[in-house]
Amino acid sequence: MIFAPRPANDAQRILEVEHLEPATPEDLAAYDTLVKMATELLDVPIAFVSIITRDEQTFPSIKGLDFVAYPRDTGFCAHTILQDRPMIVDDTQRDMRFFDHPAVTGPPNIRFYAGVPLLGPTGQPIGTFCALDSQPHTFEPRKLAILELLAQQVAAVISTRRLLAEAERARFELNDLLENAEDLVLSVAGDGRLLYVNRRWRESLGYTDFTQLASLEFVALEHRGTFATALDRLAAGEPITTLETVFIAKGNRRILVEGSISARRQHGQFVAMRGIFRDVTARRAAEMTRLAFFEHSPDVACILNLEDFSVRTVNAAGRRILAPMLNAQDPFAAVHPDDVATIRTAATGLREGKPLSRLQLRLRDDVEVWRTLLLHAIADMDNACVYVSGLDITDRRKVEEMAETLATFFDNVPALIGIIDLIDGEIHYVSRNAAANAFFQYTGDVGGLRAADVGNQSDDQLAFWVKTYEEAERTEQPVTIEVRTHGRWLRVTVSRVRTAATRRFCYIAEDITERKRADAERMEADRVKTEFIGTVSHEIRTPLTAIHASLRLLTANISEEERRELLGIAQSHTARLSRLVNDVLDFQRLDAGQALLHLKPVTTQGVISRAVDLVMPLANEAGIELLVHSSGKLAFVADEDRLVQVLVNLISNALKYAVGGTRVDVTAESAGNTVRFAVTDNGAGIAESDLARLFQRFVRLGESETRRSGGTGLGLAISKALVEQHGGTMGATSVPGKTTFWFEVPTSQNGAPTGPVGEPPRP
Amino acid sequence: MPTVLVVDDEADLRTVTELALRVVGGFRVLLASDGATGVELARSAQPDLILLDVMMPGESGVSVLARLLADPLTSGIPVAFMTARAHGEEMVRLRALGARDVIAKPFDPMELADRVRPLCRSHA
Repeated sequence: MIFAPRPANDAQRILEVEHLEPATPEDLAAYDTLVKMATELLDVPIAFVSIITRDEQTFPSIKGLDFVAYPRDTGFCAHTILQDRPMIVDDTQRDMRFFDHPAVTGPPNIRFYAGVPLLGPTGQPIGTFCALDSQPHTFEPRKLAILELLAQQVAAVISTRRLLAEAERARFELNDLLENAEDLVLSVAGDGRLLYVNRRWRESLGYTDFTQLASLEFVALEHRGTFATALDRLAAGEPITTLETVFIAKGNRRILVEGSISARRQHGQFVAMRGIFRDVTARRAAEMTRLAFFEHSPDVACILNLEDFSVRTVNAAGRRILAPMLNAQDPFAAVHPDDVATIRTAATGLREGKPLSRLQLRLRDDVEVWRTLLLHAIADMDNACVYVSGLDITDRRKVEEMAETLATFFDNVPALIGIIDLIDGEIHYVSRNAAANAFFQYTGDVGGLRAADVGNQSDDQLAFWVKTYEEAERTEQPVTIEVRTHGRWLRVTVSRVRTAATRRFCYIAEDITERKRADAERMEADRVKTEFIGTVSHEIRTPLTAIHASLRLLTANISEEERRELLGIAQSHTARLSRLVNDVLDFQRLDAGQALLHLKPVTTQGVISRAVDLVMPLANEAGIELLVHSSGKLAFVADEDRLVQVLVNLISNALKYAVGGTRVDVTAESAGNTVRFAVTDNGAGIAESDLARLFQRFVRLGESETRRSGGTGLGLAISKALVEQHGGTMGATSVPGKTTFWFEVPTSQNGAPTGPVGEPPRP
Repeated sequence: MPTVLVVDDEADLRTVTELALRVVGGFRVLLASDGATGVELARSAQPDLILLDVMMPGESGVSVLARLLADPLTSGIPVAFMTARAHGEEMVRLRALGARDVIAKPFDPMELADRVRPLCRSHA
């Protein structure tokens, strides 16, 4: 037995075998028919169709044997596929290759073999078609031709199966693409009936059987005309490529689509319109929404051409607000002169790709009012356009200006102004002005702080304010109060801010400390004046009473002695009245600053000796020793008569009132730039509390005694005023046994008023 | 003959008042130069009228009146003030304190006796 060698192209051959389409039952039935025809036409008991794989021979159809498979290399057919023509072995016992083959020497005792190689679709030998017999044959040419014809039929079945399979695969791929496409694909016949729709179309429109739809029933009524026209024009050969239409889905849902269309022709005749559409309903709705926003936005929105800033698109607000710019010959004519340069610079910047942000532009509107726009713009270089948005902030600017004005006012008024909220019965600051902050010695912003946390007001004070605010709230009236806080008097008005959402109040406070002080001073001055007039009136009426009564009584039935006494009283009180009137006038003149000093060089010795001469009789009468201590002859400038008057007043007081006194010392000495005079007695002394009062008008200690001595109660007040007019000072010190009244006057009187004396000096 | 106590710190006014009452009016006249003396004299002498000066050093006439009214020995004695500060309001104020009358200074000494006679306590 000789084994057939493996052919050189066996690898390709095996590949072709492995790619064979599996035989279908129809194929196997065809093989069986052909095998049966072979046994009958060739008059043999055995025939088969075999496929030779890498190592095996299989039998899709076999008659006369019950082989299913057979080893490849030992088979007869392994030789057959080595040649491109049939292999005929008339008698196997006479063939070197097969005489000792087990199938020859044993059952089925094959003596005759005729095999035709079967060529696959690409021409490789894939198997055999064979006729066998256990008797030797002389295979005549007619039978060989039959065998070859039958073998060709087997090959045809195999090739056909392969073509059909490929066609099926191609159809599947195409269908898969169409059915799974996102687009709506359809094919419409010239009469408007659907020939094909893909799954997406079916699912989108929801029809279970599109073939039941009438002509163009799937197109919205108002679009059918356009659709039909497109069909007609395509049929007429016009090059239409796009179509926008509306499909009507089940339940009358509208689907806006746009897509490409084309004509399918067969033999030059229009058969159908192909259409691939996309559902743009959502996109178009979004576009419409954007467009609505764009158009109806209260802000200006427009798209300009980058080259010349001409308008591409502008919304309603833009058309209205930018009208003076858009309609004008010169767009800048409507721009505020101060803004032209800025807008030109911004335009140049936009061309260079610099975005424009928060540019304030003032535009004259059609009623000649300047409107302020806050502009934003950015250029799109690819589209050569500029997107501009603008906010009309005219009203806002007005409000801001008003707010600034109010803020300036708020922070510059001297009044204390604050705004507060009452939250849970506690004061929370909203704002307060600089004056209020300064008053409460607080730096920084109190806005939002709890008053209790800011400090500088006690709990009691805060509670008081809460009560005041609540009163304003309850009475719905501003409440005005005067309070003393932080050492000052404030006149405060608190009011409820009714429009606020919170319990809001404002206060305005005026510092009235100075006014209060002035009022108090004026009242005190009035009181003093009234008191003075009352006192003077009393002081005048007393001597008047004495004079009047004594003179009237002279006519009564009185003794001579009484008559003399009455005359003495009248005389004494007339003198007293005269002194009083003179003193009052003197004092009033001094008090009003109207008395002029008659200045000249004087000496301490001159002043003292004149004074002592005048009071010596009084001293002698009282039995009091009057001692003078003067350190030489100090010279200075003064009104001598006035100083003598002062000194006489002090010495007489000492002589008259020093209870228990036995001596009075008068001294004069130099004290720096002043000359100091002092009158000291050794009486009982004056209480500390009385010392200061002594220099006031009509204050007398031991009043009745004063009057008897002829005092008017104005002596010390006049003396003090005279010394002060010299630029000097007067005072008194007292301890029991030593009371000193002193005064100092400057040695020179630079700048002091000089000139004629209004009233002749009196001792 | 009614007795009148005159309390005044001014000696000369005491003199003329005394003359006006005694010589012109025929009263018996007692004199005091200050409140304390006046009160003591009033208690001891039980005058029929007290003429009291308002403005006196030390104790004022107002204070003296209060003491007189508070003392059962003197509360029944009529008191008339004499004052140099006799303007309307003050007169009303002084009367309200309990004085029977207020006599303004200067007064007419020839008429004083007739003025005070009806004020005197009667001894009926």
